[in-house]
Amino acid sequence: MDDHKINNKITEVLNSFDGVERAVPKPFLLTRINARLQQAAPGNSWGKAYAFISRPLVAGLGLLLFLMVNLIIISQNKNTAGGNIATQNTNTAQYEFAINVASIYDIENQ
Amino acid sequence: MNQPDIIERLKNGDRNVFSEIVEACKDMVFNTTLGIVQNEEDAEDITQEVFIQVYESINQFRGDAKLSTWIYRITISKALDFEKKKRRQKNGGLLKRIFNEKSEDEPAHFNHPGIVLDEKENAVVLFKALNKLPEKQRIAFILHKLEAQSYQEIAAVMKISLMAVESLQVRAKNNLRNILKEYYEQHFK
Repeated sequence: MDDHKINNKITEVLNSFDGVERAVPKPFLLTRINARLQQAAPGNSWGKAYAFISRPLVAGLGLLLFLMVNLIIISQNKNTAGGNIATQNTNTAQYEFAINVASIYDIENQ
Repeated sequence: MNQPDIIERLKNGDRNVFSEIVEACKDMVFNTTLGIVQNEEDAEDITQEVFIQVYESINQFRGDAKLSTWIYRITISKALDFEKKKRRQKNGGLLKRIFNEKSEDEPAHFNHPGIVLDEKENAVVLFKALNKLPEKQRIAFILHKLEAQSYQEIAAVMKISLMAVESLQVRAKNNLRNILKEYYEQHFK
């Protein structure tokens, strides 16, 4: 491309905005703006709470807390359940073999 | 309804007046933003933010300019802030910093929906060249060419003199010529 052609092309490019029409936004812009205004309104505590909870960091921490509480409860339950069984076994054994009784009358009186 | 009435009602939180303003100014805000950020989704978001700011900070509007001029100022400021934020995000990526990678900062091809069909290809090149202009020259050029604003209105929006606007336009055209010359010499010689 020689200089003359380049200059013509540049003029063409510089004039390419001639006759341009305004770009228009998608429909329902006002609805979307009103929704955002509603969310940001100071009286809207539910909206604020929702916005706070839906933050990735808060949501992640919430999930982690939920899982930890579940794990703690499960592990505690396991320990407690194990203890019950052990106690029950001891009691059963005590009853079965009459470990702590002195005589047959004690069993009958139990 | 004249401007003081509109402002007064808007200050009182009149949603009907606000709706009328959105309807009347949405194309101007969107088109200006689109010219600056060159991305339709980003322009939509910024347009919403502009009107939210108009609603929230109407009490700060002193009424010394036209309402449309004030809205133009908010639009330009929001769009430029967005651009700077985006550029910071691009340049400040952790991996880029670690590997000291230079960002190209080359924007994608942008097709403005309002450009005449025959001129689409040329306009893509012009939008690319526009990104290399200094900020004020770019804004003056966009307001004049895309928004068909008079030099007087541009002067009011940018808070500069008429002479300064003329000077910005001349410098913008000269710089664009140089940028385009370099581009075509590199690509077609």
